[in-house]
Amino acid sequence: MDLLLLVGTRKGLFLIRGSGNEWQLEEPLLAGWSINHAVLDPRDGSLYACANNWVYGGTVHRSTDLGQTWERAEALGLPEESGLKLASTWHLEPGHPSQPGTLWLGGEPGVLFRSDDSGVTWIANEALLSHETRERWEPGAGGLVCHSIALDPENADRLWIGISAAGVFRSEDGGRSWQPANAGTEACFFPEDPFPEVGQCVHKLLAHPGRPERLWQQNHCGVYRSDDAGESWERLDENGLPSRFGFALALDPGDADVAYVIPEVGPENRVTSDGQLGIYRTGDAGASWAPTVAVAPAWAAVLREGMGFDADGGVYAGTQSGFVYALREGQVAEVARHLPPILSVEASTWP
Amino acid sequence: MLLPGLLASEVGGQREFELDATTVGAALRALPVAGLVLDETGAVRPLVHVYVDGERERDLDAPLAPSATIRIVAAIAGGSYDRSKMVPMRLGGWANLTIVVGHLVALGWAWTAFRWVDIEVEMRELADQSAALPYLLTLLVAAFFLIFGLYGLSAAGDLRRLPLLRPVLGFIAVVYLLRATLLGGIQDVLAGDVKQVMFAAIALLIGLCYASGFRTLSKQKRMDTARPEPSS
Repeated sequence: MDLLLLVGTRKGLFLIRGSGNEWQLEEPLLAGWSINHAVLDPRDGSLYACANNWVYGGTVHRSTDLGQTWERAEALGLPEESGLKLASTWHLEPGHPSQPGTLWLGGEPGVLFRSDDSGVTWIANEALLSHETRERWEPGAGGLVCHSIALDPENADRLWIGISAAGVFRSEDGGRSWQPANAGTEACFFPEDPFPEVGQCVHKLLAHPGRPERLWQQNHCGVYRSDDAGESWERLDENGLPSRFGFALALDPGDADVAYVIPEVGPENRVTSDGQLGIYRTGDAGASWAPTVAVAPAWAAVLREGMGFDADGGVYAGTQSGFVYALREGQVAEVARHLPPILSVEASTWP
Repeated sequence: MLLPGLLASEVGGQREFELDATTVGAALRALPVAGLVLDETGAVRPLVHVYVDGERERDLDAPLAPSATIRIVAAIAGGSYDRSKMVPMRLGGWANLTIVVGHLVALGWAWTAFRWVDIEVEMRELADQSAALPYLLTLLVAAFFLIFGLYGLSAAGDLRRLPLLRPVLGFIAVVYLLRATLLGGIQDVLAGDVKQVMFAAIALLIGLCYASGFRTLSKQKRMDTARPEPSS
């Protein structure tokens, strides 16, 4: 199978073609833009990139020819009455298969947009903008960022979002209302109230594409799994994980009990644990974890969008030092080196 | 209209545009990259600098000459702060300039004015040395208020940036706040002198204006030097 890795970096988007054990790095696209996330829409092969620039702000670029030509979203911004301005675009999630042309976009400050015309125009999600708990949300080190958008594989009206540091929210009505879904997840930085309704610092949230109601999250204060659509969460960061802290998270679409994390020492020292880049895997829903060392010695950092996964159980991690590693069937391979600092990795099949 | 490289690459590499527009804002809005130059409220993004025929232009309503050349430049650093936060600073600056005018006008009725502000005795002593001294001292005081006012307006973005802007702003704030408290204000309140308490209150307000300007400038400085890292 021909793989396509989409590697978003601080300085442009890199496409890497994979065929067997051969990797071919292409020239950077959207040079000069910081690509927080890029994704290939499996429904029509369109390429989307959350492109940001410190002068020109955040936007979304779309290409229907794998990056040869690009169109930019029109008038992407927040309504005046919100009193907020869009600071950056962060994560793009193609909508449910039953809703062609629909896409979701997460951004800063804690905002969500929906497009129903394949990313040309975007409407800000009103229920989230005016959420009753918004005043209790606090920005994390990367800002008040809506970085995770997880869809229910069966029910198009149900989705979850993750915001740092507001927590996980669930909608059962296609985004018309949002309920906090943080029961059991700790806000270890609030000693006076470590289990609040909102305010948790979720770092990455994913829903298993084959098993409805199973969610995973790498949180500031632990690794968690939910088997009831976010009603409750079970803490998993014992039994082999060197740290509860980390950002990256990956799943295996073919096995709902498999997950991957890349632990870091802690919030005050955000480098991979034990002086090595260890990709930790569980095959028993988080009961136990074991590492595969991608490279050692290494004091690497893999950001929250920095690990992608393919349909066959392969995972791909990109570091802040510009290296990309593949972990497939227990074997690690270096895919690319000396790229700009990597912000995101997504794995797709070559359309 | 001339575009920098990154914006030009968004429109197929075209760097120059001929536009029909009567104001700077209309010209920017007519660009195919308007959404990158302006934010969703229609304001120019803070790090985008607009030059018309070589002069920095901050007013989107400024009229354009028929052959004007607009150049968009990405700030290398600094940019401009949110000017709405500089409203107190602007008020403080104009308050000082008003005081300058007050001093100059008062020179016409100098002794009445000295009496009114309760410094007649001190001024008589000066006048005994030389009749011109009270007038010269008044002019010197007015000159200080003028400098204070110009620094205030400079911080508010209405004048070119003056040297040592932030430390001078902090100094002025401290001078006013001290006048309003330890150096007179508290004593005036204890003495129940209504007129002097009013002066102290004015000093307090102006001091707070300058302190607010100092704070906004300091925040901007922090933002320039420490951009948040994405994600981690």
